[in-house]
Amino acid sequence: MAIGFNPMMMGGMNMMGGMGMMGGMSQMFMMMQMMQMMQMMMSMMGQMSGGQMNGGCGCGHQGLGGAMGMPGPGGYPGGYPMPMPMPMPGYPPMGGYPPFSGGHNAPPIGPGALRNATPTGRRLAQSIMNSPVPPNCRPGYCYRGVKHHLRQVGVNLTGGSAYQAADQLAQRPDRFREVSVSRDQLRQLPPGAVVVWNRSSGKPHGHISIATGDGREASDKIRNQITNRAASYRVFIPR
Amino acid sequence: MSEVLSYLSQEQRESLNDLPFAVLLPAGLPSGWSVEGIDFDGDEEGASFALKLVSGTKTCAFLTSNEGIGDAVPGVKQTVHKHPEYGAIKVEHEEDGSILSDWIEVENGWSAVGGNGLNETDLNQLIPQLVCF
Repeated sequence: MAIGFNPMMMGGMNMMGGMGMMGGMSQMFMMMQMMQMMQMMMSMMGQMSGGQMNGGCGCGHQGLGGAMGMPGPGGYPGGYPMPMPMPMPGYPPMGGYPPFSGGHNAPPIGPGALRNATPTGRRLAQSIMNSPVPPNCRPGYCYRGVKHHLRQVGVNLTGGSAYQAADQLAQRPDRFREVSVSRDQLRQLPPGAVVVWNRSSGKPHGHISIATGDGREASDKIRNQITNRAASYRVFIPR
Repeated sequence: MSEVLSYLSQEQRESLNDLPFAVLLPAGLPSGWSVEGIDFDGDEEGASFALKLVSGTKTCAFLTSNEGIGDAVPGVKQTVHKHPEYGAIKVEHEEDGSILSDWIEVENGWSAVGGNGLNETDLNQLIPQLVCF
């Protein structure tokens, strides 16, 4: 037998339910186990491509499992126990929200872009430093804060939730260039770089911020650049 | 239920009827807390509401909005508070003392609890009292 029989994989199924021959039943179990192993492998592939790896993109595009319409952890239409995918430290599941629809092919940021501030980036950073917290911007209104500062450089964003900014910024190649940045590099971003975090489990709005150029970010307040959020992200450098 | 929202003035209670969304507010206030004020901002992009409370140096805001929202960022500590209707509500505590809870969907908007200087005891007193108005 290439694959050992694991009674734990049978959870909830009536062993004799409708099966007349033991031979047919063991073949069915083998097939079930093979299918479950394939699903587990596909889920793991989806997890690996769903988060930012060093040097990779942060867009969280869907892995093979998701692309094939396979269910995520916690549910399988057949009623069989779905093996939990192996967790990748720091890169938990997206919580049922779709991955970012774009940004998969963003080029890696070059060392020059990390060092140099662009004129728009400098203006954005200046806007933040002059008025770190815009009027009526309270905790949790990061998108409102970033909208306010981007308006100062002629970029008008719409939508209620922070994650919605990513596609809009991607559609402004005249003002922003999307790049792929590792989590390690997030605190080295030049002033004015916009980081948009996707939705994730229990976090339906995502997060957005503007880099100040000194390892911090500004949105509803100025804080150290977030790098450990359990979600994928996209980065836009002002031109 | 005559004591619900008794910490608000008649005018403040009536103003809740004019909001474009439902709001989550504490039915009553724990001792030591008082109302600092109510803010409402609205324009073509959206609207936001905040009931601001104070207790000594602690501030707490019951927020509701339908525009410009982002989720709490990972803080130095996360606490979880049980609510009879909404279940476990997580709160992120940042190193400067500011806090923000999960956003909870209400009719036409999202509500959360924000503030500064609140500890776990404060949140355990305030969050279970949240009622949708």
